[in-house]
Amino acid sequence: MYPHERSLVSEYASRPFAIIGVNSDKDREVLKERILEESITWRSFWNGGSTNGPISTTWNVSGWPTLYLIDHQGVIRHKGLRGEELETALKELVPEAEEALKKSGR
Amino acid sequence: MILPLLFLAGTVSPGPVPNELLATDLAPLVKVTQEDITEAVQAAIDEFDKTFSAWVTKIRAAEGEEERDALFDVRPTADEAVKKLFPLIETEPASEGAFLGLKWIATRAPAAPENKARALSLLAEHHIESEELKDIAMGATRGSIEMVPALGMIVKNSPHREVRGCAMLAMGILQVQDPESRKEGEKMLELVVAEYADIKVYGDRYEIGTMASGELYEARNLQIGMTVPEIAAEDIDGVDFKLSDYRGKVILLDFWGDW
Repeated sequence: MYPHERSLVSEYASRPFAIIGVNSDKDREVLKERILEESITWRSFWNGGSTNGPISTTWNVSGWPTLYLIDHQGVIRHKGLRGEELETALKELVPEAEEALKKSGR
Repeated sequence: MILPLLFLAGTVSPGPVPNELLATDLAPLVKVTQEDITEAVQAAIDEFDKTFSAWVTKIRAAEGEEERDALFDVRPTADEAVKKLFPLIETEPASEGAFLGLKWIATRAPAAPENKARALSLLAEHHIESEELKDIAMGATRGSIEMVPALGMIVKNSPHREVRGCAMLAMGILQVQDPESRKEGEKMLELVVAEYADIKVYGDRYEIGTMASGELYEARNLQIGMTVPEIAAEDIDGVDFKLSDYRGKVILLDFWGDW
């Protein structure tokens, strides 16, 4: 996952797009080292140190990774997209967000 | 030959047919059939497992994505085996061999949804006393909407509370995923939360009440087209932030772990 995510981050660097993680690792300190090693630049919520933490339990997450794609208005647009399908969806949604930004800027 | 003999066996007076004849003629017929079923079922499962592991070996040895994708398109299904097993199973559906075969079809076998549903119906009809229906019902949580009527029979007729609770959970999960039966599914899951929440599954690691609550939350808040619920928590460095801080941007929300 990391290489793909890194490439999305750089591809959409100056555009209205963000990866937000919900991380379920056990040990924060170990994770912080891994984040440096893997150049993980996106921010993550801390799921309490477990895959059974409060956020993933509320969200009924049973498989990892689980992905949601949310548009600029906060509407869930896709669940579980990967690879090329994810790229295609972003090509539609990011311009929508830019369009909305332009309109509100006027 | 069988029918007249059975008829005679059921009458008060055996009439002109001596009892010895009944015993010798009937017993081998019944016995052989049951053994045949067990044998055929076991052979079908073994045969399929062999085919499947041969396919897995090929996938592992595949060079390049193209070859791998081509192999995924010819993933073996159990439908051929299942087609042969059903007529045999139906001659003695209450036998042990039939149970083994039906359990395999309803759970592990990669068979068409209607075949899996048919197997589950036969289990509900002929093996309703079995406590193993608990695990079979849990398997059905990843099944298809076609299984709902059979699960309904299990909910109605099983003498075991744990079996009934798990069958309700499976019914609810399958129904909420289908737009046409979403409301019924929600009601079913609410019932699980209210009356069967304490039942433990998957090696006692989960309670079905928690699972049902999660499914209800997902059905009501996490469907495509719904506004995403707020997440407000701390980040890895302990700094609080909210999902809504990022409104205006497209968000890829990624539940991940570095394992």
